[in-house]
Amino acid sequence: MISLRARAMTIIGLLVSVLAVFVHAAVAQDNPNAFNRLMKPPSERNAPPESDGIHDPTADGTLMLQPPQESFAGLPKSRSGNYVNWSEAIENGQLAPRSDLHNPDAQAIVLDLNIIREVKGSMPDVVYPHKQHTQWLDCSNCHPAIFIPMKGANQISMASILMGEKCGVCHGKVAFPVSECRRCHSKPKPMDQP
Amino acid sequence: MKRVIKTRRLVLLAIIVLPFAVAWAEYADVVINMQAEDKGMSPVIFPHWFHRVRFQCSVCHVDIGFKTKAGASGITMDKISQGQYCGACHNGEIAWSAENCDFCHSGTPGLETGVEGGHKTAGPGYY
Amino acid sequence: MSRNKLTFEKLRCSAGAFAIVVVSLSVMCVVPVFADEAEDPMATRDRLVRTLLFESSAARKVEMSGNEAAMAKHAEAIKVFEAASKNEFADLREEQYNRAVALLYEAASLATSAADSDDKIQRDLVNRQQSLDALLSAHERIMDEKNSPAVHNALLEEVAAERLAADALLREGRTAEAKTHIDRAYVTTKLSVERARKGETLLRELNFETPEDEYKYELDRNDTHRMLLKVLLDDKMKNERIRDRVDVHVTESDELREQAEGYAGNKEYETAIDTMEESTRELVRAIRSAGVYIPG
Repeated sequence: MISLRARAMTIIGLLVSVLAVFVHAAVAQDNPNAFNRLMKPPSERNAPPESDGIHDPTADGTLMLQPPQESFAGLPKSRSGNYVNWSEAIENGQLAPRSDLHNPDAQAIVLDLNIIREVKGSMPDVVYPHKQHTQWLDCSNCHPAIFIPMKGANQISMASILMGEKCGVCHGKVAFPVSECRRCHSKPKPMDQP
Repeated sequence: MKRVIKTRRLVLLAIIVLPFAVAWAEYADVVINMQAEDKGMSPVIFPHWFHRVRFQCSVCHVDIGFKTKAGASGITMDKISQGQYCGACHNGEIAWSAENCDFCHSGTPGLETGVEGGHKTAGPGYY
Repeated sequence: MSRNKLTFEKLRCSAGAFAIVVVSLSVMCVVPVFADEAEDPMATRDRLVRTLLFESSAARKVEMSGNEAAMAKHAEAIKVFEAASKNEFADLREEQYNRAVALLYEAASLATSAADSDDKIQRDLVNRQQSLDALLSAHERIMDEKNSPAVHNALLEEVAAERLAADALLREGRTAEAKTHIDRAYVTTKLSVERARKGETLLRELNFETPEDEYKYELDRNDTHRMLLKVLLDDKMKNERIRDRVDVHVTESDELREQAEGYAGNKEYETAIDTMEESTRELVRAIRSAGVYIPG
């Protein structure tokens, strides 16, 4: 017969080894043939404030703040930034951010106008949709300070965007990052073009 | 008793595993530290994502008048107390009032004013 | 009970014991750090409110304003704060802190001169006027394009009326009210633009007026790719073999760009454009040679 003490030790030992397995699995993904070896799992995105590296984890205020994952859980996904497709969330009615500080029912004026900008080379042309932008912004956010609302008046280059000008005022900071080339360069060239 | 021990173990486990978890700021979190630390307060961290869930960009960036450049607005507690900038909402009516200093002043010391989180623009090498 | 199983059991136990030791050691290392840094919540609150009352921009402004009512409020805030610091009941303390903060905010409002608070309205008005002007000129172009200048003229009349009303109010210093007129003109213009453009797609073709314009475009494209080189390959360039491969193309590209700039200096834009395009193509090759695909 095993003594009571031995049994107790066994149980404790078992528990700890199970925990150890968990620790191990968390530190290094155990199965070499598991899916998505190089893809960051969703659990590692959108860190809660206390472990995001910029909030003071010892401050009481930090613990009062909402963890992003709690807010994002039901929203449409995207591949970078907040990992949320914000325009889709408005489009399908999951989000309805207020357009007026004091009147929750005020409706924003949405402009349904696409502008296609041709670019050189095999890079797809840019489609700029006013619609998705005016669901968030007012004309005066961009016109005339960032863009002059006139054909040919705006020299936009990726260089300036990467420097945080033009589209880069928002994209790459608060709107989806410029690494998402195809969300703007979305109109492929005809196949017979060089 | 056993349950207590188990829970305690889980807490211990959490403490051990946490440091291994990769952590970085949420995309578009804004650090505001033009004045805070000089005045003995922790830097402010503004969760941009939280606010865009509730308000369209234009409410803050046109109506309230926040510039679209970190550090350019010149926010002070004085202005907030008069209902400008953050004080336009954080007045106990639209949102909790600015008595809860450490909800905003919750950054780790030494942070520089700017937009945090993953990809950024503003300068070669970052996007 | 077999001998083997016993040994296994022992092993398991000792593994367990080992794990416990490791766990407790790490906890011992971690916990004191937290204990050391964590401040009692009430002490934190006391410290934060103290900073607000004595050092914040609001407190300083009140003291510098010379406004007696404001300074009296500030003094009252400090009194409430001091009472809070001594209060033993957490709930009451919390209330007193809140009251002290509210009093300071009232003091700051009293110390704010009308001119101060007009600043923002003034700024908003100027911005709104600029946006109105921009939308109006866009509106004019749209109506020209659609051969309906009458629509634009009708809008202009409406806007002029609002502007007139705004100017009258401005002369009396009623900036906020003046702005509501400009706001109305702005919204009317915006709605008219929205109706006119609804569902349209405009094409911005890549036409250059002069070869010099096209050269500038190519220069920009070259700059862009140089930035992309840095953005996309920063990490990869630590690998010597990749760096060598990339450098061959970059050197080639640098030479071509220099030549292109030379041609442009002599106003030989056609050649300059071709050479600059070739330089950009070398940069694309450089990026691709590091294993990152980008369209050319």
